[in-house]
Amino acid sequence: MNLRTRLLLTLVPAVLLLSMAAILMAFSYTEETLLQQINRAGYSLTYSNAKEIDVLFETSRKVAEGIALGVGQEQQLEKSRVTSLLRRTLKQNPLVYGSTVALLPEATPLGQFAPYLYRRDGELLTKTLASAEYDYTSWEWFRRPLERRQGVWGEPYFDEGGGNVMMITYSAPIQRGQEYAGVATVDISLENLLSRIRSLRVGGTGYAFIVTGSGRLIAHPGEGILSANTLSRYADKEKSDYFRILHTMVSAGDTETRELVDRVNSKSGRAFSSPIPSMGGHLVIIYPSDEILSPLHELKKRMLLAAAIVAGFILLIIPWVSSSVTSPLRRLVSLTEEYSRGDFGKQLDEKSGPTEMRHLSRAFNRMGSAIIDQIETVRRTTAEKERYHQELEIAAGIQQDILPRRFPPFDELAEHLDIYGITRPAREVGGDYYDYFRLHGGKIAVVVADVSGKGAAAALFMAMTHTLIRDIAARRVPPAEVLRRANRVLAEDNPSSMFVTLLYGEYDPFSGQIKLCSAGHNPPLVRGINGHSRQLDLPVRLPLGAMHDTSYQALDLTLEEGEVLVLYTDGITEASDLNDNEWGMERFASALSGLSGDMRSLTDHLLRRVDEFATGREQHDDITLLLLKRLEGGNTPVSQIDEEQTIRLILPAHNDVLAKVALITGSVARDTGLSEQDAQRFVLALDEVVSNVIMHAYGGAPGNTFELVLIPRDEGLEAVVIDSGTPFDFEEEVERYDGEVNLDSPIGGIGLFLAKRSLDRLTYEPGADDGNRMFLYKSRSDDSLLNCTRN
Amino acid sequence: MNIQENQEGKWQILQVAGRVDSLTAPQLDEAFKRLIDDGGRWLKLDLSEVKYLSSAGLRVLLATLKRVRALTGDLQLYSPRDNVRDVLKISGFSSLFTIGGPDSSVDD
Repeated sequence: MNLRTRLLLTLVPAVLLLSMAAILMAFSYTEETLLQQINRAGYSLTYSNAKEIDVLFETSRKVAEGIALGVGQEQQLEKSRVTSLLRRTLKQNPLVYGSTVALLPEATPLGQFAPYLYRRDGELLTKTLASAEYDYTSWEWFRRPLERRQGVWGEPYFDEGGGNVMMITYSAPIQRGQEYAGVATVDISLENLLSRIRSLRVGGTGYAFIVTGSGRLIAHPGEGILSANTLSRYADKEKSDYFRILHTMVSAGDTETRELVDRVNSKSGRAFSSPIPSMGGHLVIIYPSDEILSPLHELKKRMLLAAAIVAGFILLIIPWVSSSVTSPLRRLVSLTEEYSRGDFGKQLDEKSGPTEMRHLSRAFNRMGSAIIDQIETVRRTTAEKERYHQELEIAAGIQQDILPRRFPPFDELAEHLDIYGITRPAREVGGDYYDYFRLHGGKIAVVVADVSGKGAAAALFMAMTHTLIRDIAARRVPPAEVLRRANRVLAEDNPSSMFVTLLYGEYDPFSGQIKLCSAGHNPPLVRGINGHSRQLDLPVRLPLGAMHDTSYQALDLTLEEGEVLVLYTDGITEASDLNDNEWGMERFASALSGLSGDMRSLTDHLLRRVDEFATGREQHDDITLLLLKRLEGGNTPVSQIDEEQTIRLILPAHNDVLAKVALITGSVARDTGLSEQDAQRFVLALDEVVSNVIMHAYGGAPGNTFELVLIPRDEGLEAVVIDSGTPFDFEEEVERYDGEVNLDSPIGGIGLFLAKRSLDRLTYEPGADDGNRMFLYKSRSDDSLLNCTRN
Repeated sequence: MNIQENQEGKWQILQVAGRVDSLTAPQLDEAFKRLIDDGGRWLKLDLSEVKYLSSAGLRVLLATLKRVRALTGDLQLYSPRDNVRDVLKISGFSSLFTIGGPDSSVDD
């Protein structure tokens, strides 16, 4: 449930309840006040009207009693004087409708005397009430004042003779001396009173009426002008509370207002009463409640409306409030999501919003910075690790690149030997290596070495050894001397006491003769033609780098055709299985036997066998293998190389040298026994090769040199041209010209084409550090005729 | 390398002596260009005194042949020695040029 809903659900009912309670309190107070005011107003209205009505009756009473007094004090009671008194009184009191003086017959000399003066149509008329059929002394209005010795109000009545208006009569006794002599009456018309009462219509449906002293009702809308029964009769007779309440109220004479259900229009109403003392009656006014309370209802409506407006306003304002409260929260949520996606670019505003939000924003921003720092640290660490790993990989790549990978490595010897080597380090870089390279006099050097230790240090030591051996070997010293010199250098400045076991051999591919020299290395094997291997018993000497003055001794042996020289490091023989059994020499020799094929497949086979044996274990040491096989039946007759006859020349790479090269080469070629044509062809080929070096490898730039080696052999002449210029793609260059010339021929590739055609063999070895080598060979055999025919 | 010029009818004859290799071939090229610039169309190269001819010389011969053929002229070779004849043959150039001289019947 979100904050807005929660606010709505809690605040709205609370506010509504509070405002309703406030409204109700205000309302009830107002209602009470209003009711009091209404009551007061109702009562005062009733009271003032009752008072005025009272004045009317009181006046009439006084008039009657004035007449009675006047008649009583008359010394000479004469009829005419009585009549004129009545006339004068009527004239003076317009409210009086009629008046009479009725005398007891026996009390005065006037006997039966009852003149009645009354108004009709503005005239004063006179009649006498004394007649044979109307004995006035028997009427209530005559008897009762005399019996009670005070004036009384009669019941209202309709004066049928006098225009059918409602009348009421006051009778006052006349006292002459000690005797009551008769009665004086005053009739007053209630027409004015009625119209006055009727005009007292309170509101739309309210009304007023009079309850007489005897309890009859005057001008009650439900009971006619004059009710037939008294109020107490009605109260008994009717089932409704209406008359009972009115009766109680009037009898009690109190001024309290009463609630009742109005009999006239069946609505709840409110009754007020006020006494009219002069006639012993009451004025009653009945208000319909709804009319009284209509302002209250209006008030109630308005208050409810106000409450609704307040509630509506709150409903409207709460989303705004909650949104203003939650908008920083929402921003926090969206920013958190951005952070979780790895976007740390934004921060929360710490300077605006409520204090709590500012604190939260500050904490959040601090967290963001901390995360960024952490990520940066992790990234840097990872990058360092990555760089370290990359450097190791580069080192591993460089180390592998040091190893010769050209198989077969020497084109011109492809018929004589098959050689293959591999080094598989246990880690990224290792301390093992193998090597082979061309030596002076057509020999091949072979090396297998194992540096003590593993990893980067071993790798560096290995690289150093590799360079050292190659460098010393190029100085045409015998194998034992190569190792002696290398040891001297390695042992000289070797604070870490590293050493390397190494096998070094010089192999003559034509004779199969080999000189092998060991510096503490595992004894090599020779696999015979029958497949059985024999271990070579080399003179054992210290590893290179171990001791400063160590001398070495070479073993001479001849590899027969088909035999394989197997050089290896202890990573092969000491490979272990899960039970710590080593592979060992026996398994090694057994794996070597019974397999034909070239040296590459034999190497692969050996590695597979080792891996099968060591399944489930990590390779724990570098593994190196170098296999060299002397091939059967090389078609070139083998001859001794006379090293004394080899000519090695370092020459400037310039075209002036061409004539001199031609001269020397022609001479050597003829001395070697080549025919004149073959000699000239060899000269041509060499000239083209050298021209190529000058113009292309060096691009004609001055100041460069190249090396020319001429090796006279029994069977022909070999030449090697070594340059340190730009290597080129020999195959592509040779194929640029195909010997079919026409006018559209491109003028390129003719030189190498000529050279190749002029020789028995022309091969090229591009070299990175020790120079590019072009090997030229021309056989001495007298098959020049064959060449001519072939061409 | 020495170069001599002779006139024989419409043919202008260059007589070269010595080695024609990467070093000297540019001189021969210059000589041919000068002859053509001077209006020469029918050229002969006397190879009798040329001891050696390399691919650099062959490229000059091919370039010159292209130029004079374009001018409806020709370049002919004359009297190469055996080794030079061998080079022309191996390279396939002997099929492109008219080679005159004592042994011309053998090759053509």
